Amino acid sequence: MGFSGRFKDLVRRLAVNLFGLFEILGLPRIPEKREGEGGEKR
Amino acid sequence: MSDLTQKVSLGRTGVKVSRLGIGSAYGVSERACRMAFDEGVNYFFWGSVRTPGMGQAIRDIARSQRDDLVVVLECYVRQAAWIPRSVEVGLRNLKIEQADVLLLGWYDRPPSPKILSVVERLKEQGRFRCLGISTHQRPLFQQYLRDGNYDVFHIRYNAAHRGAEQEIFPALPENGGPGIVSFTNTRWGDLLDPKKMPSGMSPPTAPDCYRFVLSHPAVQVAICGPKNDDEMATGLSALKAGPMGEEELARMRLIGDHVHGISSAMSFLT
Repeated sequence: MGFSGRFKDLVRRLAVNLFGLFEILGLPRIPEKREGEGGEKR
Repeated sequence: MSDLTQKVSLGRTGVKVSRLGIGSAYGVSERACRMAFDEGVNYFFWGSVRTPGMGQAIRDIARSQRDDLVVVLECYVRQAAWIPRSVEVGLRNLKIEQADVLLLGWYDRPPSPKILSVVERLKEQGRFRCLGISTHQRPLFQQYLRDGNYDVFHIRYNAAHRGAEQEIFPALPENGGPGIVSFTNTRWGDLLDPKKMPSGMSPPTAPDCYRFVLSHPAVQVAICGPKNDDEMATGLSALKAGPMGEEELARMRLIGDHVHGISSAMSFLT
């Protein structure tokens, strides 16, 4: 694998690990709706 | 498959899915998700980039109509020991007990036996119903097909990237094969960009791109990634328009061939 291939592979691995970390941390947080709250304004 | 408004079976899973799915990555709002659900869209892809609008919509819809929703939970975690936590956190955030599809995301090398064993245990525990996998390395799907572990494939397929027509679709069994879901249907927006069109040609619309993908009989679901309510409404129009005719398909292929020769930031990565 040439330099470009290795670089691509590294970037992919970083992206995958970053997404994995977000999953474990539960990010982004989804705000809780309060009782009777309809959510977004229509 | 001539009527795109009708739900179809997602391969051998038997799960009934809408032909259009929604991805969470571009910030689709709760209202847009609800609008799509009311129009019959039930394939909700809680993918790599998760935005709160879709999360709220899944929570809200699942509270009263869980059986009508197909929730795909993507998992990027590569350390087997952390996969259960990733799945638990994902389910807890969405306030559901079980995902319909657990998607092992972006596996350009096959998952290790350790990962498969952890995933099998999660299935036994009822944390998901069907196992899916995605990769950008098309030849790997043949191996995934032989392994027989996967009920659903998420593949990159669009007018510019048609390699699946040779490398994946012909290998699928006529019956009992995995469900096929297509992502990157607009090739990260390149197929919609007037500057990237062949001379004298106007760009397709996003619904054209979805219709192109859904015109292939092997594909059950095309994932769209709307940014706002207007894009969601536009995307939904693909279902009413139905599959493309030969002339439209030929035009899409011509544009796709041209766009394929133009590199983009994302095509560098994948």
